[in-house]
Amino acid sequence: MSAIIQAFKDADLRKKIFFTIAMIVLYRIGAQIPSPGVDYATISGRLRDLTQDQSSVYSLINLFSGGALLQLSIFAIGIMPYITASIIVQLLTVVIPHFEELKKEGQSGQAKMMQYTRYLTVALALLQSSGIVALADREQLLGAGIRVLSADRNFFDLIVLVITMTAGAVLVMWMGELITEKGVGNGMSLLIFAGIATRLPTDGMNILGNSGGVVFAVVLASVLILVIGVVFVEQGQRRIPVQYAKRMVGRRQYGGSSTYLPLKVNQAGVIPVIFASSLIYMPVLITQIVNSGSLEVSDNWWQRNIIAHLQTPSSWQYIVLYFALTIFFSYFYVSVQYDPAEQAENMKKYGGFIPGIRPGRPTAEYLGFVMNRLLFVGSLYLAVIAVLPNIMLDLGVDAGSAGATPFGGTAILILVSVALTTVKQIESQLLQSNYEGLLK
Amino acid sequence: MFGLSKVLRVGEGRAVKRLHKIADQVIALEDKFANLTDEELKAKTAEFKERIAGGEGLDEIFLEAFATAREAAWRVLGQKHYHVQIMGGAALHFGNVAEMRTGEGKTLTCVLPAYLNALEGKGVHVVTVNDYLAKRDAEMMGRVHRYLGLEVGVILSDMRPDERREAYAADITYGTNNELGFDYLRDNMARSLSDLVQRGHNYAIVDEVDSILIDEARTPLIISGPVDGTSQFYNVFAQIVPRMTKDVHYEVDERKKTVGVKEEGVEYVEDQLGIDNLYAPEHSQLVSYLNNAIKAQELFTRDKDYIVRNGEVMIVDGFTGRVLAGRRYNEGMHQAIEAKERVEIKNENQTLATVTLQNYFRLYTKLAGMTGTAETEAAELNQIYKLDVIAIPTNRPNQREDLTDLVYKTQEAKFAAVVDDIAERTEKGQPVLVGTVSVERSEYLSQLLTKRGIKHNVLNAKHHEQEAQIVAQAGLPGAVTVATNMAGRGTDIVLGGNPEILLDIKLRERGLDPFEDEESYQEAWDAELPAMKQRCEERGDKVREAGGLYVLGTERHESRRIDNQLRGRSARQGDPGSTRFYLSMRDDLMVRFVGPTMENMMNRLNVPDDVPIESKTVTNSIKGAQAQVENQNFEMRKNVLKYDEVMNEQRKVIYSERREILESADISRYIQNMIEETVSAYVDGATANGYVEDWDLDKLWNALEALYDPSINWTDLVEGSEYGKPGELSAEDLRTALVNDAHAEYAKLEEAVSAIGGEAQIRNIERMVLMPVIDTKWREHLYEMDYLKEGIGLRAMAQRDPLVEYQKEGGDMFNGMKDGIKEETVRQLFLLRKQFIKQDAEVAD
Repeated sequence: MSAIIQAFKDADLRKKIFFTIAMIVLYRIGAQIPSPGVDYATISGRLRDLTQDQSSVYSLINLFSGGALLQLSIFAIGIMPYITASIIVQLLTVVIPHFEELKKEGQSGQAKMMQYTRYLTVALALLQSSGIVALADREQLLGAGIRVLSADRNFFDLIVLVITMTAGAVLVMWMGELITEKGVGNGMSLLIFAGIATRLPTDGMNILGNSGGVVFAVVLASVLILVIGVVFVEQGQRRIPVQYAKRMVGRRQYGGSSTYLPLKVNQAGVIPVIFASSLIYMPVLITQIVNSGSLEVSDNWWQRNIIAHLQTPSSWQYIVLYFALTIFFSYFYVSVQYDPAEQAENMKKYGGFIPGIRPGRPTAEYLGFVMNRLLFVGSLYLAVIAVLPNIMLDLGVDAGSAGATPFGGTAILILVSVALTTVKQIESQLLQSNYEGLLK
Repeated sequence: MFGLSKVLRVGEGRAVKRLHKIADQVIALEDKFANLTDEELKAKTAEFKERIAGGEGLDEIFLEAFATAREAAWRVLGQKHYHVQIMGGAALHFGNVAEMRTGEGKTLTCVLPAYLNALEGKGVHVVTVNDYLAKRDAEMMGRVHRYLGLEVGVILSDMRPDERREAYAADITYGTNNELGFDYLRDNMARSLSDLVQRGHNYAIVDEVDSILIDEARTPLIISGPVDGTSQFYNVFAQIVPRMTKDVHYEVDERKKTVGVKEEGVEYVEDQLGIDNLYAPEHSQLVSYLNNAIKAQELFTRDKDYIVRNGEVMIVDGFTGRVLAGRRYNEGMHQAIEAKERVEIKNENQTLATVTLQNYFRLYTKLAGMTGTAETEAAELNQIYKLDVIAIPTNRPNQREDLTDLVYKTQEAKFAAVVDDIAERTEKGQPVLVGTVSVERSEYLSQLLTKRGIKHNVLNAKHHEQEAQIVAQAGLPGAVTVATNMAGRGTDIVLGGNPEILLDIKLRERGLDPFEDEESYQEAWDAELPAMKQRCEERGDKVREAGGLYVLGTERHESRRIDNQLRGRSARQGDPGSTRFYLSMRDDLMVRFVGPTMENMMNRLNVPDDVPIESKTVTNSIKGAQAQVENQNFEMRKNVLKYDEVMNEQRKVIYSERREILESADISRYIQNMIEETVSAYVDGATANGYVEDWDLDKLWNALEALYDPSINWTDLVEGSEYGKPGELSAEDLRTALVNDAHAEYAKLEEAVSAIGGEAQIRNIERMVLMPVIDTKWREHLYEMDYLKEGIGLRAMAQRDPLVEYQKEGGDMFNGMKDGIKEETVRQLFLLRKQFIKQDAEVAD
């Protein structure tokens, strides 16, 4: 608490914090403004009595956008294209040699990659908004046959809608970057954080209303336990000591144990979950678009055995698939993004080594070994966290907000890790501008 | 970047207009001041000082002071400030960067703001790039100031502290950035007030400001002291490494200046040394020797990065081409090079104090700078130093002609063409300045020229003593000067020769010195200057007819600014002149950035070796490469600065407190605090958990005995005392009891010392104990921070921002250091107390 007061006493930091808050407020306001040509009354009425099954396909996106998606607001697709674009560009560094070179080039290369990410964001935003608008146009967005756009729309109106949403996504991206640059914390994470956090009260009320006081109390208690667990695991690191050649001066040794390579238990963060859920919703989305010509849901093998399950997050089939995919992507993402060989190579270049282990291949092997063991635990943890809301649904807790709730594991994972890093950054900034002398 | 710099220049038009107006006003005063007698003019200084004392601001006496200095320069030097020079002077006074082309008389320009600001009596520092210029300016321009009754000092590298103190006490002090920075650091290591040489940082005019704030930004000034004992391993590895093969045993990254040992290399070294595992903890120190030896072999080239003179390895600055006398590479790198060159290996160094030049210049209340090439870096100067760049127009229109680059396939063909070109130009009577990238290249070209029988001078780090003579003659008809980057800055090549410097050399040869025999020097100067001017003028006309100075570059530098510097030597003050760069596909920059495609193309087109291509594409791709490197370097500097900021905050705190201790006669209240805090910290540590029965008070007392001898016993406290009932001792009570006890013990020490040496004695002892403790701990802290920085990048692995982690852990380490200082000071003071007790016991026996 005293840290917060202190933070506001520091003029520079106060400015940064207010800037961040102002940006978040703007973002939330934008998320409430309906896009042109949207029948707002129908949507808000429909959203209230929507059952989770029909809209689960967008659950995670809807969660990330703070509910803006289903309201078809101007920030409907929000931060999602930017996230996706960043992930894609990150992964491309493994596939495309040019990107790999840029990554190794340091700052100027990073700037170029940033630029590619922005272009890709625009492309993805166009794609996503077109998809949403197409669904809305065919009256498939909030369940079949529900009209969400104004009745007298023409093709031109749809174009305007797409452009509005794309522009909204780009604006959100810019706001995120502004926060990173002029505010505190990482802009992209904070915007997601804000989106999720704003839904806490409504969804809490929904659980209370739909499932009763006892369930609500149980949910609250388990969320608390979950938060503690997530904080615990997120802070968990395996610190591998690394020594640098320059440690010696004359005959004296300097440098305590302060240089180490930290390997997190959950090294991959939340990204494998995003991958897994995106992969699950892909076939559903495609089927939906294909089927959208007819209002009748065709009753064939594909529909019965695949889509039915994929559309039901509370089914055990869905849960098992989600669980397995999350584990798979944890391994995949970590091995791609934190390649031990690359890490070993970098350490070698700057004269660092793990005491007792030769640089180069032996170091890479050792790092790989340690990482894999951590990953086993880490991926299980992540998978459990990911499927928690689905299990909650299975047990009959109804938050009324379609699948992913802010009380679910993924949301809590995001909330906790964003809060942790942001507070850390504020703290270090405070320390920086408030050095106390020796003499008081 | 480009867009930003354009935006930044929007307000410039207004600023320039204002400067024009000021210059007009100053010139309008000309007649009035010309009518004053010498005595009246000299009296102006006292009058201005009085007016300032009477409450007038500098801006109110601004115009008159400028006019006074202008008139004085005319009477003493025979030079009168041009309109544009007054503009430049005003820009400097307002704390801007004045961008003035070469030969526009920057030295004369800064006489005006220096005089004006010196009137306040708070000191003005004029910063030059080398000792020679500092000395020359202090003598030549100093004559104007001395004429007006101001004192002028100069700081040179070989001066003693008392000479320095005197120079800093002067109204205007000339010196190089390094000397000023080092004096600042040394002042902050001083053990007594009388050792201080500087007197505050009021106003600095920095010459070649871009070089100092931008190029030098990457390497901090370091004062280091020897650490005892060097190791025989430098020689061992200097013998092993040459037997290893690049890319088999180790690999080198030229761009990032890093090396890595491959497995084969590790095995080879282990084999040679007869050990099992080089990376086992007990051998880990060997790794640094090995890395340094490989770097010395691959990344440091003799006569490029360093030269060997009189059995000493001396660093050559890559940007200025000058020898950095007395500077040594850190962390054993210098020793590794010494081992490679088989000269005596000097003791290893340890950083005692360090500051970057930018952070040093940020100390000044007002900062201004001059340079010929700030335009490309306006954004950086504004972003980081809040300095606005104002381009001062040239006195006469520029007539320089930049010829297109000629690109050859091989270096040999390039240099052959260079020699041909030089021969041709000199025949016409045109003076030629040839720029080379390294000492080694300059000597290679010198050999070629000698073979062709072309007379020439070589200006590089090896011959820097004759710099003034060489430069003064470089503008003579048919003169050929082969130079490194040294010729880039601060050298003004006057067509037909520089009369002032030539005369100065001539008078000195006769044994006249402007400091010692000021009057006879001035007399001889006045008598001979017209004749000398006349001669130079005649020769200058001849050169102008032949086409002016021809600048020939033999390779592109990483930074376009350095190339522009070289080009800027030509066509000064409206003279004619031309420049051309000769390049080859094998040049460093081309190999690194343009790549083999261009060379392949030339091969495919069957271009013979000695036929150059002259194409816009090549020039553009080189420009692109340079821009890329510049951008990279900018990012690097920004990054370095962010990390340095952390250190800088800490340095400011420690230095200001150190100064406070130095200045206060009585620091006992600080010592009392330290005793209290240290004892409290001990108690808090021991009583953090549980109640009295859980505490390990035995351990606490053991620790306290190492700190001071507690006169009370914990058993007594627990059994009940004034501090609480039996068995109910609280942590609070324990702390109070011990703090009081420590204070009481210290009072006894004070008493004992006072009995011998009086009251003042104990205060002196306190200071004598505290100062070295601060210095030692700070030094160790510097090193620990450095080491922390080395490995902090690894934190990115856990998705943490390395800078944030560095700030946080650096802060923790700083706090740790503070506690360490307190504890160590208290411990050492009580050691004295223990000594007294021992003595008393002996006496009693």
